[in-house]
Amino acid sequence: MINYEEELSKFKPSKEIDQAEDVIVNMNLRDMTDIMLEILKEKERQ
Amino acid sequence: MICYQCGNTLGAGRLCLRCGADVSIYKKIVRISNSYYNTGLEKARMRDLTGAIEALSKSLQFDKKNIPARNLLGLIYYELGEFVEALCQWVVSKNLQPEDNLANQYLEQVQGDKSGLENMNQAVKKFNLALEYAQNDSEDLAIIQLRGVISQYPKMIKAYQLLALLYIRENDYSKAGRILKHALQIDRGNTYCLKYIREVKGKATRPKAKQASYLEQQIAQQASNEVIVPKYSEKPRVLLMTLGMLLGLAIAVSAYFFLIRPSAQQAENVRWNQTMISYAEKLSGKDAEINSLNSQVETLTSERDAMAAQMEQYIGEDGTLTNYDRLLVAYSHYFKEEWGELVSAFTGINPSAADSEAFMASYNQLKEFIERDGMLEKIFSSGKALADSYKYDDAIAEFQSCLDLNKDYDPAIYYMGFCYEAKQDEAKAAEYFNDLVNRFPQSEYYSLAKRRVG
Repeated sequence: MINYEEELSKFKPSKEIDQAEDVIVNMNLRDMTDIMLEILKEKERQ
Repeated sequence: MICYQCGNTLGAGRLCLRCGADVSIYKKIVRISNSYYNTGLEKARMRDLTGAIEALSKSLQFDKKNIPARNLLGLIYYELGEFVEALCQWVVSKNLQPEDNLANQYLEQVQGDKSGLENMNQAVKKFNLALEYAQNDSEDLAIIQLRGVISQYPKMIKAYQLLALLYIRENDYSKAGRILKHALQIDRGNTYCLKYIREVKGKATRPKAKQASYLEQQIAQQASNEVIVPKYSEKPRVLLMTLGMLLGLAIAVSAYFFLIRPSAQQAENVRWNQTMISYAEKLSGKDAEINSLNSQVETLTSERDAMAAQMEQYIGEDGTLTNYDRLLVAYSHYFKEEWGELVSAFTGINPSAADSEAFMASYNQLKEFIERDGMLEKIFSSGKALADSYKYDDAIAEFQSCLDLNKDYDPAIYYMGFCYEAKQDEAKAAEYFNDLVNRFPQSEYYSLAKRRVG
């Protein structure tokens, strides 16, 4: 059974063109390679 | 594959041959990223775009520099109407690898089509407005807005999802079902759509007891204001085709009768009118010619009549030439001493018919001979001699000549009666005897004539 209110709350406004710059700036580009490098740096410090 | 520390191309070993870094884990990470990319690519080919987004996002989580994965993710966002997400992915991709990158081409195409970009942005704004309506319990307005979004950009999957949800909210499961079917044609793996359609499947009711008529179906379709392929039956289609053909035929016939034929008729009329005018001109010319000929005929007829009248003056009963001829005849009798014939010919001459001096001189000369030289007595004696010889017809001619010269010459009157009596023509004889008795009582022949009359 679908709960309308619950389902409706899942919808988010789409980004408009003039918001593209903000989206790019706030994009999280941290990937597994970055994590691996952080781990390796931490390991060297110890 | 490139070393994450020095950028050298890596070989098959665990270490970088240039900087000596351990790249075994890094290689595994890149392999996992590529594996997710392959999965995403496969799902995208199967039109499971939600699944593809999931796989490609994981691929990028492992290796943000996986350019093909990022470009494909942008392409899928673009397909689903998430334009800003798509542009962001392509811009990042371009920053990570400025050269030899498919993202450059995508960005050029999108940014080159300004009207298309504006159209997409308008669709996004409408969707956001519809979402706002829906959140503020204005479902009807939201539905209207979402229909506009779908007609403007038919691949925006979020619009289909929200519209289907609103129809479900209004318990219009059949419409929701149709919307979701369209949405799943765009993205087969869309989890929201799959979830909603499961809900709809059990509740969408169809009329079973009564089959709606064709007209009712049409009315229902118009009322729903949806783009639905009408289910025509064969019969109406054939009927419509027949009606269409008849209508076309009627239009063609009408065009012929109202457009083509009148112009052709007009041209024909003009041609006939010109022919008529030509014939009328010829006819009037002929009429003028006939009138001219008639007037010539009249002139010639009058001239002929004038000539005939003129000729009559010469050769007619009282013409000049006739009188000349009579004069010549009279002279002929004169030279032959035929006195009776001379007198007959002379008495036929009309002296006023000729004004010639020679004619008048000859006529007067002959007249003087007849009147002065006892011509009357000569003819009477000749006649009396013939009567005595019992030649009564010749005698009558001589006596008639005497009477022609002088109608009151009583001896000739008596002997005329005598000759007729001898010929036993009592009536004629009595006519002459009575004439003498009545007009000449002093005549020496009176008593003789009276005795014969009795």
